[in-house]
Amino acid sequence: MDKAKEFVEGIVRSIVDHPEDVKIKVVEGEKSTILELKVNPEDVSKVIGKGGRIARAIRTLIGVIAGRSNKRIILEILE
Amino acid sequence: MEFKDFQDFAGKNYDEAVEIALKTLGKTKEEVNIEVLQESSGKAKFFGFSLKSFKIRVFYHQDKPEIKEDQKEETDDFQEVAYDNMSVIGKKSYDFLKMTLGYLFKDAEIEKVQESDEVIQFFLHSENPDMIIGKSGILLESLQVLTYLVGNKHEDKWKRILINIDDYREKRETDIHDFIRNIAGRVKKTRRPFLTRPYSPYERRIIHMIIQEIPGLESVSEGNGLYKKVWIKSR
Repeated sequence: MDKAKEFVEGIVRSIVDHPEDVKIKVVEGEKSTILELKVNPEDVSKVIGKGGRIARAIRTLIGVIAGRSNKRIILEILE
Repeated sequence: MEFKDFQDFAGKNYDEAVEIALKTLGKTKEEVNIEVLQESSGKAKFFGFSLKSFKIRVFYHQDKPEIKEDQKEETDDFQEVAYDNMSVIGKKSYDFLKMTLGYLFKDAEIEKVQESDEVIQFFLHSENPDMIIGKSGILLESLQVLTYLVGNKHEDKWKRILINIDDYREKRETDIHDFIRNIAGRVKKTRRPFLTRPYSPYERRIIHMIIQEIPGLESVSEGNGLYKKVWIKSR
């Protein structure tokens, strides 16, 4: 799932104020992949957005990559 | 002189109707053409109140067709811009959108960009536009939300971002227009409110604008989140 990781990294780095603090850990499961996203505490609200709309937009777009790989990709934002 | 515009006015009698008309339009008697539509009959009294039953139609020439002017300005202001001539927001949005498309939709390209003081419009092209639009526009909307955030980051005056692919938005707008007008007619007739399916903010804006122009009706969004349903009801 390097592609999904790369994609999320690229997008999140553009959104946040501290791109150097963006870390993603990939946990591969049998049917799904979990992307654990860690950002600077100041940026957490930015990545989630008002009413979760930014996180939702990112997850929707991840769905495109997931659809091609036939595997679920779950984005978890760690606090 | 040909008078293109006209408006109807009513008063207790001819003089009052004319006076109201001239005041409203800001014209003198010489500048307009007055036609009597309905003369008041002597019996036009209703519980002691005299009805405003003298109706006239006033033809006049509008010096400043305000609405037309506005529309013209908007289209004139929209200019196709090459990358080098884009504003800072334009460049940031362009870079981000290009990067995102590169990850997700390799065959999509940014065909042209239009920019005005308030809005930046991206026109995309792809062999498979449906892939980029997503179910009821959800992917396009997501791209728009993220591009808006990244493009306007650290800016004082934010610009709206619109992403279009082929003529998707035009088609969708026409569909919404037809549907909402249809519903509005029904609500007006039956006076029964109607709740739509969830629409995106951009689409709700179109709906509110349509309903605003119809006297006697109002529209109210309902729900939380990005996609909300809209009530269309009589006021």
